[in-house]
Amino acid sequence: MSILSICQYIDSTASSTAFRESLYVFPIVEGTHVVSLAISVGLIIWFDLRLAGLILTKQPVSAVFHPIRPFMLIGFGVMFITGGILFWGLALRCYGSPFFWAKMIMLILAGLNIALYHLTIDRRRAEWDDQPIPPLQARIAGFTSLILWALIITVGRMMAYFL
Amino acid sequence: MWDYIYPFFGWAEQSWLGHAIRESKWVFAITEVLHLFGLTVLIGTALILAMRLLGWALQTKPARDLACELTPWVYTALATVLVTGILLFVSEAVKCWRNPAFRYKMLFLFLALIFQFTVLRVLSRADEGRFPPIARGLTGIVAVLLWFGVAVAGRSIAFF
Repeated sequence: MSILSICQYIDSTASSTAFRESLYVFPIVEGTHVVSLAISVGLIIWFDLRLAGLILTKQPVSAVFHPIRPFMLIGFGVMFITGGILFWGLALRCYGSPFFWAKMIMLILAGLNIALYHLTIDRRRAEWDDQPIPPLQARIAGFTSLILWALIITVGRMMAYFL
Repeated sequence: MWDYIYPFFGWAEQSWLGHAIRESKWVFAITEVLHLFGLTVLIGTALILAMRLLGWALQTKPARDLACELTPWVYTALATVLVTGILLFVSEAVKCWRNPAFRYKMLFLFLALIFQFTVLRVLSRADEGRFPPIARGLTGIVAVLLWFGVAVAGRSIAFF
């Protein structure tokens, strides 16, 4: 079973057609996707910038990370759910969009970056939590995250544009 | 009142800048992406400051210090959204004039800007204890909600 045939199947379901043709559901889901993006990315940038050593350098890294984590996770959760619904309604058009594939690849890279950070340098955070400029690996993780989210927003917007 | 300013919208749309942006789909799309970047950072500054004013984050750092450290980010983001917003506007000014979402967006933008530079500015930079915690927390929440209003109404422009 190919990815194309999965997308064709999703596209042919009654729920997918209903979503595509809805007058209000689509704008509401799309609007929620954008607002949750502003919440999660709007918060993660402060943590990324702190990791990069560019802002709030007198605050421990954990003092920036811990309070924003629950809101960030809720934002990302809503973004994934609404993104999934949008994909369900537009599966075939997504399949045909190079921006969609670029977005998926960059989301995977962002996930890998987060996993790599938490499994390696973050394990030793107690040693550098208070340092204004964190170790090189942590700085790279922060910059990588900032760049990837900027690219994800870019291709996401382009995708909606050229669908 | 809205009818009186229609000539301005027509003029904007017919300006060379309006023509130039309309003619290239890519210029419009890239301008829109930059607009979105600016809005994300702007809402980010409102969120982190609101969390501080509510006492949810960075309690060891005085709110005033945080507000000062965020100021260049606020100004850069504001400059970005305003410049790109004007560019997007002139490329489809007449469509905006007819668009109810655009009117709400301008209303929210007007309120958000006034709130940002009056109430939020004063409360976030006041000495700790000068204003009751509830007033500080509410100020942060209102600022976030006003910018959310701008974002939601802005996204809705495309749906009308």
